[in-house]
Amino acid sequence: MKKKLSDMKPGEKGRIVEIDSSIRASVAGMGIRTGEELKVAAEQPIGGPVVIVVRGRETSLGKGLARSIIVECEK
Amino acid sequence: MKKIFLAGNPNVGKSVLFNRLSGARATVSNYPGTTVDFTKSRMRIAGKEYEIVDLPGAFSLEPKDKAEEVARDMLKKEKPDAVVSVIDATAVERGLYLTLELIEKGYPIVVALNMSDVARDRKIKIDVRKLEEILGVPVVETVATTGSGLKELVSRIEEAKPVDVGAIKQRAGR
Repeated sequence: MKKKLSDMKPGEKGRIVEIDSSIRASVAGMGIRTGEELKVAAEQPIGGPVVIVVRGRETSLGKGLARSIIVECEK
Repeated sequence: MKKIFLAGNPNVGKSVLFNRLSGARATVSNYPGTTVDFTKSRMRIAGKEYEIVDLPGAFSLEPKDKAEEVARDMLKKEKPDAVVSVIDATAVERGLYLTLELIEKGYPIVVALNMSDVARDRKIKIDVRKLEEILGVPVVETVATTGSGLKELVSRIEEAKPVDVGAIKQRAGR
């Protein structure tokens, strides 16, 4: 099932299938690219950042950026 | 006076490296109009005085936050004579992204593979010679917290030079 990264819950895993072209270049440096597997490690309250793990590295992403990333989620 | 910039992702040990190199006689300033700060100092290499700047941590030169914007703007405006691209040796793939961007923009680069002790402990093997051969710039393994590798890094800063990205692609077999 495809979901926005911003809608994923901690513990959920998936593979990145789409990144909005407007943010593609700015998140690529964090290792966030289509085809990469990720896991949501934590979610901060009040619209705070999402913490994800990509290639064994934790990175946090603002909700705005997370909304522009589409993930094919594992069941 | 020649300028050396330290660039790299957040939390790769850039500032520890900076303190080692500068001997901690640094001035902290806010970039005009922002609350993002950068640190500046001087160091001597072989009798010559250099200005050394610790840039805010950045993943990319395509900024998505203020810190990245400051890093990019300072590079653009100040035209450093050498940029030490500090990479976390346990996350080389991620660090290479910024390094390649810096190379693409024509900055003269030296790569510091920092925290190489942690990488070794985690059984991560890096073929430094091969990386150096492909990138065409000096690549030095460092441990900023102990000072290991810093002598070699400093001695090779003068070797920093702009490299053509096309040539790197060819050498990487892409």
